[in-house]
Amino acid sequence: MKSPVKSTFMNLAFSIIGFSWPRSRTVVLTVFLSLCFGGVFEGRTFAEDSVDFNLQIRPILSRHCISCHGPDEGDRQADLRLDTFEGATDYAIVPGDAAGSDVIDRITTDDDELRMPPADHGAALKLEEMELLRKWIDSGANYAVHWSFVPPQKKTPPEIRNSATAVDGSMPRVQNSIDNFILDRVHSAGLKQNPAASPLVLVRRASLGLTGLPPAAHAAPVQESIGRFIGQPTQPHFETYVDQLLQTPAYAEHWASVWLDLARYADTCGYSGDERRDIWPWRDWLIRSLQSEKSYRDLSIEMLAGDLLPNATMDQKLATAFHRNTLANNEGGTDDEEFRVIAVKDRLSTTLNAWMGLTVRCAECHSHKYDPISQQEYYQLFDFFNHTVDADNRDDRPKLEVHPIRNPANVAALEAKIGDLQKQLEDEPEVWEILRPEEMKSRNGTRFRLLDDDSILAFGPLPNIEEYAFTFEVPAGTTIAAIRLEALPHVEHDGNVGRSPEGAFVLSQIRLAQINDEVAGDKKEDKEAGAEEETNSNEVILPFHDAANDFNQVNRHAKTAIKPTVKSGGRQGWGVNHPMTGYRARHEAVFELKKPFEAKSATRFKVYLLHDPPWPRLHLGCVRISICDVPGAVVKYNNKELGPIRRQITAAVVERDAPVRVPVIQERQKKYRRESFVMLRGNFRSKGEKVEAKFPEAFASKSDAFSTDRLGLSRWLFADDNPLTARVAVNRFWARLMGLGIVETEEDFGTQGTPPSHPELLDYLAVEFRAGDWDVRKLLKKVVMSATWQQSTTLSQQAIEVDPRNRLLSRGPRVRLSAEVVRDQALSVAGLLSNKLYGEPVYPPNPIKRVVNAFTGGMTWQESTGEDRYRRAIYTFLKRSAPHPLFETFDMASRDTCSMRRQTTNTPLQSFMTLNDVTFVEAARALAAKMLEVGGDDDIDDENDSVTRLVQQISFGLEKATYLPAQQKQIEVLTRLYQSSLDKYSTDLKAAAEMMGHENAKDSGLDPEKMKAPQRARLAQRASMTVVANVILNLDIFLNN
Amino acid sequence: MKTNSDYLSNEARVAAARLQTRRHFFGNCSIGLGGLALSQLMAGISTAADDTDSHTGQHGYQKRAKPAKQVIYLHMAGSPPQHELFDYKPELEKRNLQECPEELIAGKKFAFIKGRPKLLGPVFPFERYGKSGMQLGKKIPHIAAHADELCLVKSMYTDQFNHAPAQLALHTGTPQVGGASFGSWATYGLGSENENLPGYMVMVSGGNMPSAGKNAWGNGYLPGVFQGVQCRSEGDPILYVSNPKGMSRDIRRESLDALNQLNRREYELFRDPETLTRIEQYELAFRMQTAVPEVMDISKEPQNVLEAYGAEPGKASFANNCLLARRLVEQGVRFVQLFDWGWDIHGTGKKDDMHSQFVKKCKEGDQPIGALLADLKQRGMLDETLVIFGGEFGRTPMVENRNGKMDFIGRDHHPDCFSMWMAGGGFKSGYVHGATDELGYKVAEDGVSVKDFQATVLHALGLDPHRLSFLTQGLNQRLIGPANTPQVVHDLLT
Repeated sequence: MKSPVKSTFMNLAFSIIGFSWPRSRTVVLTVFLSLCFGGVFEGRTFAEDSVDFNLQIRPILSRHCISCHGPDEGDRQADLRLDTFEGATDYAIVPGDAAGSDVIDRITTDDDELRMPPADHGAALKLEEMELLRKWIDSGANYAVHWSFVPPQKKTPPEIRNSATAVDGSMPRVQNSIDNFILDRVHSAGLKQNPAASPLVLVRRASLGLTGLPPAAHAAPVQESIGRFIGQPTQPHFETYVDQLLQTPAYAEHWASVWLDLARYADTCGYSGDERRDIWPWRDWLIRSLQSEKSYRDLSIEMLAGDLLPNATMDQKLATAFHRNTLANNEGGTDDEEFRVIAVKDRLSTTLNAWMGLTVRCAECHSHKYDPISQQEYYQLFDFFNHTVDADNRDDRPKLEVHPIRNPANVAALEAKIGDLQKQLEDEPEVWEILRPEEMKSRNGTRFRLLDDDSILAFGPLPNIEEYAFTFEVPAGTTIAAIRLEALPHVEHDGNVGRSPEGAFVLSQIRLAQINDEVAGDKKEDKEAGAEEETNSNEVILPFHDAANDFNQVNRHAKTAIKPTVKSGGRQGWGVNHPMTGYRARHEAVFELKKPFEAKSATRFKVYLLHDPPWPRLHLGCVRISICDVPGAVVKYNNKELGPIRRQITAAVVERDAPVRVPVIQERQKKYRRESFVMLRGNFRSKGEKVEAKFPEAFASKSDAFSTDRLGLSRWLFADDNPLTARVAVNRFWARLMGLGIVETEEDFGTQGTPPSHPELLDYLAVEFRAGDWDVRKLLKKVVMSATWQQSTTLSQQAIEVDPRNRLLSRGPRVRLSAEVVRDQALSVAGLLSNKLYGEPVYPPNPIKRVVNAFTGGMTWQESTGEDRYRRAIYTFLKRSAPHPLFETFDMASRDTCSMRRQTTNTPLQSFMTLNDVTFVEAARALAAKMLEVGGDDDIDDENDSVTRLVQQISFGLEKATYLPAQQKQIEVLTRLYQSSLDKYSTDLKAAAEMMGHENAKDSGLDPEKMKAPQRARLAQRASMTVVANVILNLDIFLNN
Repeated sequence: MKTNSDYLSNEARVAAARLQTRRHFFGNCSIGLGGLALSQLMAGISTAADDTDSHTGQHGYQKRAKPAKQVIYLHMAGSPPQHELFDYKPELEKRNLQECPEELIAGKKFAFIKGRPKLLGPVFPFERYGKSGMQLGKKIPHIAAHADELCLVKSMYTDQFNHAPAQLALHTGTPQVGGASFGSWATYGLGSENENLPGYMVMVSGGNMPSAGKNAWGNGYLPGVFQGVQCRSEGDPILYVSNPKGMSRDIRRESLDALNQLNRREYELFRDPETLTRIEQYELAFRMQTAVPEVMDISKEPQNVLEAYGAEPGKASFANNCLLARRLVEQGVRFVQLFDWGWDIHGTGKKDDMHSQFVKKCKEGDQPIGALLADLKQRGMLDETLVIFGGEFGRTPMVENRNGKMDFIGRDHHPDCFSMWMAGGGFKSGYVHGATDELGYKVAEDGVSVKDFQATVLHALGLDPHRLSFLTQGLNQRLIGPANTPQVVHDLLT
């Protein structure tokens, strides 16, 4: 604490990709200087005397000059702009005469008052930079359009000549045109192509790269082609394997993750409340689409404007949910318009960022300082998105009712269950008689609709406090011993039982009142029976004495709703926030009268349902009321003696049929079109000039005219002369496979982005991608079939110095697995991973059990059981305010805004996850169990045999995880670990039991003390092997591809 | 830092690669620098030799002679009412329950107040404290006892009046999600001083997350390592810092030895410098396994300290968090962020009423904060530790009266003026800055915007708020935002 932090930029604990300052800076400096000025920069060689504007000059101007002397007219100093030839040569630059140009004077002067950039803006230019500027001005100060704003042209792959043959005489492998471009540069940097990776490495690399799963996860036909390739490692055999991988559903799931980052997809809507949002059917649509033959272009157009396509299908409308993943703020007292505008701006910046690699957010407040998007053009683009119906409403409308793809196995199971129950039903007498109301009223304005099944749907106004009153009539002779209230989920309320935005209700009080036209006569008698008269009315309250319900959340039992009088804002009442189903399941409560009521004549009565808890708007959404004449209904209900079969049937039918309402984009009718204005300083209330949709000038298509709506915009993205869309797409897919994009700043192709390492290759691939009908599979295949991608990753001494970051691809890519794959691979290797596709999000083990958001109450993470515990990561419920920590720790994008690439970090918190996370421990146990099965179950007495078997077991685990033959050294190390652990666990069986997760060993028959000797030995072995498996699942090679 | 001499000999070579990796980080992950890589690189290197802060763009910044080293930020989520605590207004008291002057509310929008509200005088009395005679609410006597240590700013203002956006604006510089938080910036700029603990730790009390959720301590566009690490009061203080049940520390040690050997072999085969880093991270994790539980265990504190704070080992409370905050800064944690929920005193019911909830929150918060200040002072840590207290905005001088019954008392959100105080860390002591008008409705003198406040705190830490930046998506992101208007308020500093 006392000593000043010397070289700590961040201590190693939290170092980025583990960087710590090197001890000897001199060494580094030397290396670098030689690197930078040896004529190679990012592997590029420049001729001695010519100057490349885009690569050498623009970066200098951008860094030092453009923020004050650039396109932003509002902030331009000295009326000078240096981003155009006209501006620069107005007075500051004399083309061909550096010595006579003011610019050179001002940057080279010693006078601090005059020197540019001003001291408070940044350091002076480097001598080298000044020299470059001089040279450039002397040679005419030629400007060039930023490289990425010029449409890509088809490039001819450079020829790889024999002279490039490596020193050892081996010929470079050229498998497709990618290799021509790559080798050309590798050779000119004095490097040579790495040897091809071994067939096993390639099998794993392709499987993880293309499907996010290890090779063994795939079905039999894939295994056969793996076998063929290993047996005879030829390119055609590899190609067959790759083709198969690209057709697996795992491929679609894996690449969907990339889209989910772009779409900022999550299962909640963000900000303080972070309420659940059912938008997962869109995620399923995405996976299905990726699995289909749909092109990148069609997929994109559907997402951006599916609703505007002629005769849009349900699926095309659903596709637009892409842009409904924007955050919604439901905090009390917020201005919905403010947050609607924020969402619209987010759609605009997401669209331009994801498809064109342009960053436009800064133009919200002022014209872009670096790229050609003026503030006015920004708001013209804004207008394209400004005419949709959604408006940050609490209910997230508009929504599309979707029948999601349900897992066929689940549906079949439900059908079978319903069938069985229906057979049993014949023996079950109907106890409940459903009543059909004569009159439905509310105290504060809620309206009602009577549905075919006699349920009552509430809709219309949503006051803070509300009381429903339903009038029924029963014929003479009817006995009412109890009434049943069903709370039914309804699509009107997003499939929830309540009307609040989260779908909650609290029934503060239920009252049953007999409507008596002859009150006077019966009054006394009823009083004695315990009835109370409602003041100033002809109604007599029939009090309840007990209640039961099928479910209630803590402290919200239906019993608390039967008190004859309640305080306004009181905390009692029936509520049903279920840890698994939330508010989305049907529930029922049974209320038993103090004394059964016998109708001597036809009698009318009213059921009052009061909603007046401390929180507003918690009203029932859809209810149905029934009566029964069975005495002691509550006790019978609790003993499941009251119509149990019907109850189960109802629940199963609801589960089978429930549609989901998904927020989608929908265009407002023409007459309700909004007006768009320039927003001064980005403030939605400060309206400037009125604007209408228009494409930005620098990117206007010269070949086609496009309509000025979202559909036009989405087609404009794919115009033949759009310079960016194809490049950005190709670059993204390339980066996912290679680790780095050709343009490293995938999200910024503008002048502030990095220049491409291989511009010709990028253009070549972009042109080919567009011409090949935007076929992503074809593109991916081309990459993985290249000799470049198939190289081994070994880093040579020379490459460390010349190409430390592998920008030149003189070796194969080595990529840290993404968060999703880190988990899925471990589960798969352990044999736990479920291959179930689609469906509602799941809740795998999570150390954070409960999240309490401001104002909207909490959410309990109720762990899924069975198969759902081990689904692929993409199906994990994603709460924005509390993402699953495993994914967050492994650098998953935040999903609050569009994310084009993830940062890769290397931290001790990651180590905690893969060492200690429940999922990883479970995976280690499962893998250990498989390892121990190797070599049979018999006890072996012979020590040699037992050692041999141990070697086999450990080799099996290593091979399963790494897909490589186990090495002697690895086996030795792990054998020692096993033996040492075994020594410890054999004498501490309690610890062994705990390691195996038998935490309550005493209750479960797994108590080591009661075990026989062989069982105890077995337990110690399993615990020890789990330790070994835990190490295997943490190997660096396992976490990398 | 190196734990094994085996690969020290490789350092020079590997260093180059790793510097590249680092540059990859700051160059490429700091999206956009790449185009300028050459000059940036040179700038980075040349200054790296003589200026350790080069990576933050701190070229030649005139640092404060004795900058604050650490921060304890006490955020009272919901926003405490300044008219009861810090900003005594006799005129407001005089006009208690009179109609609010029309001109104050004309054209104004409030979160909940509708129509023409009534003024609400201070519900609880004030008193003068200390030699400075600072006027503070009597509901916070323990804090007030340190009046002569406080730098009270009465003239804060913001432009957000909903909780989540206001908290985001205050902590991340933008009312929308995606910004990098205060603590992320501080650790990005200064690093951490304890290599076995995260540099930025967060604790939440009061039963709820703050409205802005974890975005309030998010790293935004900064690298993930700068995210606040939330310490939990239940289970592991840091997720999975404990070994699985049944795995002893011995076995863990042995399994890490095995893992390291295998990974080193991996490195020898492929020479990926990241592999070495991973080995180091596992070692670090191993050390954290003892460091974290140790620092989080308050049961070893002497009884008198526990009593002073009102802390109880094993319980989740704001008091415990205050004590933990001291323990963390003592260990060199750079930025400790506390959020305490429950200060949103609207007066719509008992749960947010001035007489019940506010009194309760004062009671819960006052003693531990007073104890924290005393403790830091007594240990000689207050000079280098900056303590910040505040909410995300102010509250109205008018009564909210949402249900029209006046059965409970409270105030609505108010962005135009609020109070915060700082103590230690080079801020003036016993000093009051700025003033509001006679009704405490808006700033009358020396307004300090949220961005000025951010600039001032960064400056107090020895960082240049205008230069501390990160280039991403074409924008040079800064905590204080893109405009150069925010200024360091030098008057607040010694």
